[in-house]
Amino acid sequence: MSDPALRLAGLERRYGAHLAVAGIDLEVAQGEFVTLLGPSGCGKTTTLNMIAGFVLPTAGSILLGGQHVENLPPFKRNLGVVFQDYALFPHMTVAENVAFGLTTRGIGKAETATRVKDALDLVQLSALGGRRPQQLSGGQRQRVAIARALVIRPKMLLLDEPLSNLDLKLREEMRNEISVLQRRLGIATVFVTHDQGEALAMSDRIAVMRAGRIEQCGTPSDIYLRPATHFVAQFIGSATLLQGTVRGPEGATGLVAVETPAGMIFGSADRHPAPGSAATLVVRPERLRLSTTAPLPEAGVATLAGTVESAIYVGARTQLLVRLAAGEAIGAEIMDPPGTGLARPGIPLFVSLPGHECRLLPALP
Amino acid sequence: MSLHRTELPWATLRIVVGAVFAFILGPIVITAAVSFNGTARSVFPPQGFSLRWWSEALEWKWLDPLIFSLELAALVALVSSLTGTMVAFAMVRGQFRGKALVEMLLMGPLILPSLVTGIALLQFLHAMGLGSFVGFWGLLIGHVIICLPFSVRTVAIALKTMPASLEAAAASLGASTGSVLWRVTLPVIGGGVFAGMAFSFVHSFTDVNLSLFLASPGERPVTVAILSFLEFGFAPTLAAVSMISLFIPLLLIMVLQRFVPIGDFLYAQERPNE
Amino acid sequence: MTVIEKGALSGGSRTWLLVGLPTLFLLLFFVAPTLYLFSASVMISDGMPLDRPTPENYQILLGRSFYQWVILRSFGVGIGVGLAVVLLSYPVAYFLVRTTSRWKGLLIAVTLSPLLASVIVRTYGWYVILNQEGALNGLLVWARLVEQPLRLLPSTAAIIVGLSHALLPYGVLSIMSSLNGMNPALERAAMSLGATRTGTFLRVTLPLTLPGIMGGFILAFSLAISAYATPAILGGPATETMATSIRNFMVAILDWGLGSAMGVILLASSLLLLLLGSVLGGRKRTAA
Repeated sequence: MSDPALRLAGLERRYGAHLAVAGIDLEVAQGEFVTLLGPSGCGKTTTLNMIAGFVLPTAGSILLGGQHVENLPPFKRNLGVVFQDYALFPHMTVAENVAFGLTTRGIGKAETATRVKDALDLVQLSALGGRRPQQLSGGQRQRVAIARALVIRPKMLLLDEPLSNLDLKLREEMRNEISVLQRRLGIATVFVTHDQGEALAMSDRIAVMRAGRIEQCGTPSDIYLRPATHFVAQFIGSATLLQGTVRGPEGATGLVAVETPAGMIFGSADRHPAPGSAATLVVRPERLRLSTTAPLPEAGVATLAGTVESAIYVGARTQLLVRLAAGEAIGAEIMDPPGTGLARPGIPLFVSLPGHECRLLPALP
Repeated sequence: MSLHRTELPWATLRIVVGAVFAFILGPIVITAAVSFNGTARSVFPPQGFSLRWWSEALEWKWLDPLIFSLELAALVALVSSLTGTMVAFAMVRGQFRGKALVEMLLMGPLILPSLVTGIALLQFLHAMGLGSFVGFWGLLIGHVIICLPFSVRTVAIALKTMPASLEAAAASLGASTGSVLWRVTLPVIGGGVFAGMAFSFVHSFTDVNLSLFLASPGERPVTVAILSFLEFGFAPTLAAVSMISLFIPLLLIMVLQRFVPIGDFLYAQERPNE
Repeated sequence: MTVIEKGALSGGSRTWLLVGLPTLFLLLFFVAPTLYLFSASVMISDGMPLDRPTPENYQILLGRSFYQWVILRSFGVGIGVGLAVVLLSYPVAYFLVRTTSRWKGLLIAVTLSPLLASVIVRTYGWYVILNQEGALNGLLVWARLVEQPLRLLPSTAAIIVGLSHALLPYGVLSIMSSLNGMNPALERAAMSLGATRTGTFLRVTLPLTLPGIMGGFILAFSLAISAYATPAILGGPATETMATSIRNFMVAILDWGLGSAMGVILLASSLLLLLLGSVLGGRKRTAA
């Protein structure tokens, strides 16, 4: 199909003097899973509510399958919405909840019954159709909410932080279930969350939002490996940001040499900044190498001396904070449990920063 | 052992609470006992046993005002909960000029002593040439005035505690505005409407301060009938009548409580929307 | 969470469809009569309508010692009932909020059940207990504490006892809602910091539930000073209160001017206390 499932153009929502959503452009292709990711108050839920029709935009347009819907009330948009608190009708049974969207469409009894049954089968809740929402566990309610949203065969699925009320284990389970279901049905989906883990795991593309704007939109690996802004670099994963001055290209490596207080470091960039300009390097803790003896010099790899300051055990890995000789601190992740190998506070070591793993950002304003 | 229990010297508290409970229930238990008294005086412990007072309480002399009270209370409950629901919708959902004033107006009957509302209404009806309203119509008007704040409040609490996402969900599933109201909002806040109805019924059924002035000799609720009977003496018949008029609201609440958690609205705090 | 915009009731004019009629009703049958009451209190003297306002009714009520006593007695009853209600309902409310008993629901229901009975029903029980042949005297004589039955009725004390009983549930409700709103971890925190149970109660629980106590007191006071049935049954001519005197003016003596003036005084007392309460930092009524 030529038309994208959803197109937002210059979408804006103003509350008095406050711009909750400050002009957003976004396209969601058919079958694509796009996540709006950002801290609370960044405008992601307002955006979702505008797509669903619960909030009216003050400017901009919303196109569903190529058609303008800004002026359509929510009940004419034919979108499946799953709410953070699930919003199951407490006075109806599970089956009645799922059937609700079919009865509003005047669909006959027999068809309603089969479709409700199919939808409940889809989320593996066929046995609980007669229960009330209050009698279900959190995960079951979540499934009912999804079945209720899908049964109307919506043009799109909108998910508003649907996992935030579940405990950790269940959250991971539901995360996978939703992903599998969405791929199987091939339904275009907009997912709102503040959890970067969910976003990275589930999305085809992520739009990172901040203060009503999209900071960066790209695939999960794009966002993680090639952050466009300081905000994105720090919001997704953990990172050490090192400031410095651009010295120029580094030989034939295609890297940029940056002089920082800790020493000369190399970084990669799509466009090389002018020598002399300020720059920031993003260093991911799992991408640097540690050794007790000085490694052999290598083109495009910077080696800095430091001391382990602290070691925090997180199970799969140990997070180290390494104090560099020049005074800066840099985060690292290794496999050694604390007390063994390099994970011992106080031991001196060398940190190697491969240039193609260090991303260059424009400097802080 | 739960931590809560260690917070105060629990045994002492239990004794004190037991004593207060005896204080609460004593007079009612004693009234019940006296209604089976064998003698014609309100003495305790009862002397002998007799159902005489109960059979007297079930004569038309008492049944008339009892039925009048029931009819009045039922009508008051209906009118005040219907009106209260409409008003609560406007107050919680609407933005309109003069909202603060309407809010004050609604709380007025709760703040002003109902006795004063009673004499004010009595004089006003006479002054307006509506003296014939004294009796059923005056009572209906007066009781609706003092019950309205309760109905508005319970429905408003129900509306405010209902997650807004429910209505959004219904709309996203294709329900039009009217359909959302009818199929989701009203059923969900139904508990609040019923609670308001129950409060209004009980409030009207047990009212003395207003009825005292707005009743007419032919149209008087049971509370006023008891009061005027008291001026002549304290026959145990009154104990039996009192028991009957205690059981009616008790029964109503017990039946309603099976369907609606009315108690929740008694000390529910109004919570703002998230 | 966002409510659906452009909902059924966002328009001002449509909203007035919902509140217009009830507002009109209250203006006509509540506000106008109350205003009329004010005017009646100065425009009627000796039961006769006047052409111009006179302070005469107020001069009588506030100037003659009999009526001064009526007003003072009402205040005394109100304060006594308010204190008794708060003192009696605090332990009950505390118990009901903190108990883990499976009878909790039933106990709350029993505590509040008097609200379902008319004040008359409840006061009648006190008549049975306190009259000369009543339960209390029977007990006292049987225990040989007194030789002759005591004359406990009519008396102001009996009125206070009866009204405290009748209004107790309001105190319990008010204090319960205040206790329910308090984070129980605060008490544990105080004890972990070395406060004794009494110290914790006095320094943490009590101050935090003060609004509930104030609310209960004010509610009990204002309902007590305007209660008619209890003073009428347990009192007599010598224990007249504002409420019973209003009834006498309006029904027996038929001096509506004096009745209205006393009504205004009653109303003012009630409002004054509410005002005082809100000034002292007590929140608005929590129960009722």
